[in-house]
Amino acid sequence: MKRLTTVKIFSALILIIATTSTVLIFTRGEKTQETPSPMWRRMGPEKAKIIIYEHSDFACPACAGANFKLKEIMKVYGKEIQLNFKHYPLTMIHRFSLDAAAYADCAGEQGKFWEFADLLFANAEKWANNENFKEEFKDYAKKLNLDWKKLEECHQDPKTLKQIKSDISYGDLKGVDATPTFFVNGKRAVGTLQLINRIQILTAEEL
Amino acid sequence: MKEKILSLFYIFARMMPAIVLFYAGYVKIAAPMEEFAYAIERYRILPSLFIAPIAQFFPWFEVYLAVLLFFGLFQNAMLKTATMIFLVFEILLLQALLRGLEVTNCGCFGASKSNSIGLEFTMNIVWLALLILASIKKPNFSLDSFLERRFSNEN
Repeated sequence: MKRLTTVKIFSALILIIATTSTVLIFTRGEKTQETPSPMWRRMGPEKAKIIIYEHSDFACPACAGANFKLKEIMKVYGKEIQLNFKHYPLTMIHRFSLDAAAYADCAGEQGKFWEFADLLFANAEKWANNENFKEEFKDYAKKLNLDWKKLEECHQDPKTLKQIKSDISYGDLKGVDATPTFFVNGKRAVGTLQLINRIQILTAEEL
Repeated sequence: MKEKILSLFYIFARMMPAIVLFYAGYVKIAAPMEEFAYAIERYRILPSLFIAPIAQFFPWFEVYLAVLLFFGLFQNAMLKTATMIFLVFEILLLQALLRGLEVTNCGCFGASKSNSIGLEFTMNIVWLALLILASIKKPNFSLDSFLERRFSNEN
């Protein structure tokens, strides 16, 4: 009986070792270098001690919460932090996120990316599932004194879509799976709580 | 014939939840640890101190449990542990549903591959039922039985 138990424990150990090796072989992740966002999606000094890459979707409620928190953080540590916004629209669940990203970039070309982004985050429930989302966006453009005609032309421009798609591919390469995902000086943080923790650690160390 | 079909069903009842557990653990290990930590955070049930260690080690626990359960090694203990695990999942999902937490996906299969809380809650009932059935009539097709037969022959 004692021998049987020993053999069972030994077999379990063999199974555990074999499983660990197999899983580790199949789950080796890829590493990619960060590439800066276009100027209008960058905030903060060129040579900052803390560089944050934010992979976000305008229709995601958690991203809106994180955006609000980030704004507060930037108010306090704005001189030490560079924020790079990367589009990661989850088009499978948010039908018009890709359009929202395109309009935000086009607003960026007119110098109002962050303002447009704030309006998109704050009103996501109004446009996220609304076939007439363009009417909403037109309102935001009006509020921000943007040229709607230029905005429309820019939205149709394949270059705009290409830029967003390259952000998505970049996010995929970085292994982004959930929004909002941040990379704070290269270290991943998913969600607001992890972001705050990372920034707290870095500000204590670096500043 | 009927007995053969029944015995095959009990093997299936043990192996199917094992496959689900293995897949759940594997996709979490393959994804960055922070994503599973984020999924745990959203249930707002654990202090933040425990979240990172659990996110790091729990997927491995799921995978090991799944492998032992699949092969039927320490079958009794593994069936009980797996049942407990699925029960804990159900309680977590239920409290999220009742509290109306903003959990868009359950995080059961990592961040992006998960189903809604409602669907996952229903699926877990099926896995629990299968585990309970396998616990009542333990399948003979297992490493336990194989080793026991070998050792009784030797003696």
